[in-house]
Amino acid sequence: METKMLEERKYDPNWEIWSEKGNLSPLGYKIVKGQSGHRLDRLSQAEYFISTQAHGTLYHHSCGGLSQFYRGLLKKELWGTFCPQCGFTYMPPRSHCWNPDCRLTKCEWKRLPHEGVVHTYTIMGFSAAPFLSMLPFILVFVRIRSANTTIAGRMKGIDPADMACDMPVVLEFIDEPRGNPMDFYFRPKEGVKTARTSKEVERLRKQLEPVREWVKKNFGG
Amino acid sequence: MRQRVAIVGAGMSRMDLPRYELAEELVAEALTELLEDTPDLNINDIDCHIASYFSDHFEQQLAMHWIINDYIGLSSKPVFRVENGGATPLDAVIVAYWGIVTGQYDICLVTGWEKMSEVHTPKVNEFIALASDSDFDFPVGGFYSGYYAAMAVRHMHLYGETEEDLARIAVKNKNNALKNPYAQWASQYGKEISVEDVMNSRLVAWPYKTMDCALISDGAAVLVLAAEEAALKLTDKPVWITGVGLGSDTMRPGDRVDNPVWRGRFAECEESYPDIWSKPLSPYPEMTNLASVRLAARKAYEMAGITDPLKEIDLMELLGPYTGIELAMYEDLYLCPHGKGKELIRNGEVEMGGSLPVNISGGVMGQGHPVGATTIAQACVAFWELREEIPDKFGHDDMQVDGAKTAVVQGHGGTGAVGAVCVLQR
Repeated sequence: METKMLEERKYDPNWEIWSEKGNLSPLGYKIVKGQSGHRLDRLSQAEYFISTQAHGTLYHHSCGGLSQFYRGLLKKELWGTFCPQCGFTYMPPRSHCWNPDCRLTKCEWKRLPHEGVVHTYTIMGFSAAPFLSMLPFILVFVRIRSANTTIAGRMKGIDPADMACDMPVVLEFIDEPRGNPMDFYFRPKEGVKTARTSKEVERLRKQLEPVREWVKKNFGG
Repeated sequence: MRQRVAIVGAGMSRMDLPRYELAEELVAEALTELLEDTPDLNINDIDCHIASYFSDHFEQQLAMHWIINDYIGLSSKPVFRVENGGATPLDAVIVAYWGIVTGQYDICLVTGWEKMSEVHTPKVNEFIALASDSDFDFPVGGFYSGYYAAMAVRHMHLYGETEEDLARIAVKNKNNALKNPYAQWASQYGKEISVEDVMNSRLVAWPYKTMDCALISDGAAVLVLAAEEAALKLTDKPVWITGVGLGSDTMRPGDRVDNPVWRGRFAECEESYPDIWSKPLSPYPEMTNLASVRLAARKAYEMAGITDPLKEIDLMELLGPYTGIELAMYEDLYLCPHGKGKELIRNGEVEMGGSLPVNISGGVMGQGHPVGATTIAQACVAFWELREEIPDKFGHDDMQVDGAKTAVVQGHGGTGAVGAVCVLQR
């Protein structure tokens, strides 16, 4: 059967050109003098030619049996899966149950509540390339109510110093979801009080200062 | 009966960022050292070549091991790559061990390398993060420092380590590396650090600062393994591989809380879980520890007949890309009860001169972390320790554990998606 288009959010067609632009063609070079040698007590100098090349591409990733989850995000709904045999609830969803006794039973879909508990968290002061401009941010692993797994996400609306494990949270959606796990984030469910001592709070604030300065310098205010 | 398998030769390149040499030249640098130390070994005697590198992305080169293989004169010999995330290099050693223990080969070469300097640091983080779940964990801003930090936060929440406890581990490893002439930290930083220096280094992902984290490195390391008869022809100081173990856990650390496969398998760790309402159905490994490593250790110790690891092991080289996971490894490698890892660093037992020095080389935060070479390089140091060759290799005897007979090398990949343990004995 032929594949039929049901819905499409188009991307800028220039991406096709930009992504193919590099293809490892030589863009520039430099020649440097640097260290050589097998041990620090046996160093020597040598000259090296360094060539700069670019390479990229577009990926068209089918979300397979989990497509319901991503389509749910577009409607600001959280869809998880559960195993009809053992009752295990998955968020992130899985198409098949992993419990060895269930022999890969096919999971079924269900709406999950927009609330849960922060199992653990971290306050990010550095990141992979795509997220640098968003620093500092809080990465959380949240157990959505009734789920047997935790899902990674972002925490907003809280001073990083007030973060704690086992904190109840609600899940909210961004205004214009795009079918991506960044479509939702978490907020504290009730008033929060720091679990840190005042010395720890002060230390964390101090640790965050250079991160904020660095982002401001590299990405603007 | 299984053949006995020994490591008969070791070599490694100097670790640095950058090393301007090509990857194959770095492997050649390491192999040259091995050949000088093993004069009776001819390259033609090698029956099989097991190669280890982590990422095709760093150099935009797939099947890099084919380049390495012919470069060092091994075309015509069987070669293949082992790839298992951060566990890749130690797993390559184990695959070579299998090749010999089954009787298929007599002499196997293991090579490992990584060149991580070609792309800038956030891109390195991104490429490494592609070895996490790129559908759910990476797109929300996760990367390895973040995942490991979140795991450490939970461990601290349950078992009470402080940021300073973690910093002490960094101080130990980085200061150890200053005595190691192959170590990146020695050339990159070159002076002793204190707990305060770690606390004041830049935040990466709380509780981790830059000095709590692994280095990004270029480098290579090699080992030659041989069956008993061949080994005894090549050296009078073989180091025997007496135990190997492997294990696995989920790709996403967040999936571990209630995982049904772990239920009831770690009674020794479940009692130590504090009595709190968020106790999961599988209280171990939870998100705090690595069950893959605990299973690998059980197996390797059982094979080697080790029943009291802290007493029977003389030194350990483990993969601690972050200070908190090194602490968790003390627990998962049975050096102390679950939840008590902090005591080993507070008491100095894992320091040089303590009852079980851990990461004399400096480990991944001191010697270096060219991922595909890392634990092979750590095995090189363990090999030299067991042969009492550290005075020659390091140019001084400060880091030689006198009379060392048993060493353990541990590796893992992902946030513990796979784990490996090797017991080495002279």
